[in-house]
Amino acid sequence: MDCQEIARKLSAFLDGELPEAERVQVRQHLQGCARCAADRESLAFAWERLRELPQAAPRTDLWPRIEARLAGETVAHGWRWFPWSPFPALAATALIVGLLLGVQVGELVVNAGAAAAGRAGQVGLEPVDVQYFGDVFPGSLADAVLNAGVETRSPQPGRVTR
Amino acid sequence: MLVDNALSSGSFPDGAEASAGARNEDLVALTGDADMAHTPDDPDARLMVLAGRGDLSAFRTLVDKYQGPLTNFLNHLVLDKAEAEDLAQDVFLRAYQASRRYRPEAKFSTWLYRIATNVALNAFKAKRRRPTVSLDAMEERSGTEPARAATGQRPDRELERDEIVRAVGHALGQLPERQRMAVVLQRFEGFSYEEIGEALSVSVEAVDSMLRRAKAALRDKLASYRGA
Repeated sequence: MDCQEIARKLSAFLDGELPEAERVQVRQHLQGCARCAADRESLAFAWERLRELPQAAPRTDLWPRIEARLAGETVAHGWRWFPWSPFPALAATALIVGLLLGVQVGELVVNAGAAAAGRAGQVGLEPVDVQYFGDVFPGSLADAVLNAGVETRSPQPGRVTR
Repeated sequence: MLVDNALSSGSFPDGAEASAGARNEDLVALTGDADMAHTPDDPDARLMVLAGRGDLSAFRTLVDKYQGPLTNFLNHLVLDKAEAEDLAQDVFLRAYQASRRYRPEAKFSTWLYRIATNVALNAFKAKRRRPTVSLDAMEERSGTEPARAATGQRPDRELERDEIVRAVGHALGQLPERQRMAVVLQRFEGFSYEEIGEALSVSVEAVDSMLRRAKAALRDKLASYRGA
């Protein structure tokens, strides 16, 4: 091996990472080459000083904090702490679906109620004035109210005012 | 608790000598998991498998063992003791989160430090987005080199040693993040190049290159202290 190859291998040599055959070759070269030997010494000087750095153990035991976090997450969610759990997303989806279904069910209830009131001869039925801000979208609850035959005072189709 | 005693003492309550194979069979019987038959001879890996099945005491044993080295490792990276403790806690929580999916194919410590390097890299990224630096880190990362004793004065050995230690700590803090990680894993945790590669998700050749450059940089920074 020439000095250039030795220079590339010195780091692994210092860390004991060279295969046995290469380690022997490097050692033999260092015994006969003052420049490479000096190179090795300068690398080893800095490398060994690292071991003198103070070690930083935690100031307090980390376990109580870890245990509290694990217990808190388990109690809050009722399952193992798992930040990427699909359950929150599933719950949100279920809520949205529920709302949409509720609107549709509400529409059916309003229609049925209005029809029943009509059959009962308008007892207690007064024109309903409801003010709102926006257009009535087809299929919406407001649309269902309008289409249920409830009398309105607004001359504008699709709008009721109080 | 029965399993903890078995793992820590290396023997079973009935007094039988435990071999690695016998321990694995017992764990298979206890957990009902055939994977345990193939766990490496790494007690920490077995503890982690048990933690994945809800054994919190097994996980606590691992926390007790690794919180010191892990905090030390992270402190060398982020140069802030309080932040290192927070990050260490984060590492353990992520490890517990992943415990159900944990498979003991390699040493547990390599797996744990892989999580730690990812947590540290995320911390570095967050700091680059919000550059706030602790006082400790400012002292470490200041552009000024640690002052040397005046010419003509010969510092006693203890002062000289402290000065060199401060200089090497400063030099370590100036290394690029991944080089610093490789250095700390090799020097303080005794990781092989292969284990460092697994922890940092790089090849052994890349680890060799990183450590070669790190050694050269440290040598250059400490050149004036040689022969003092």
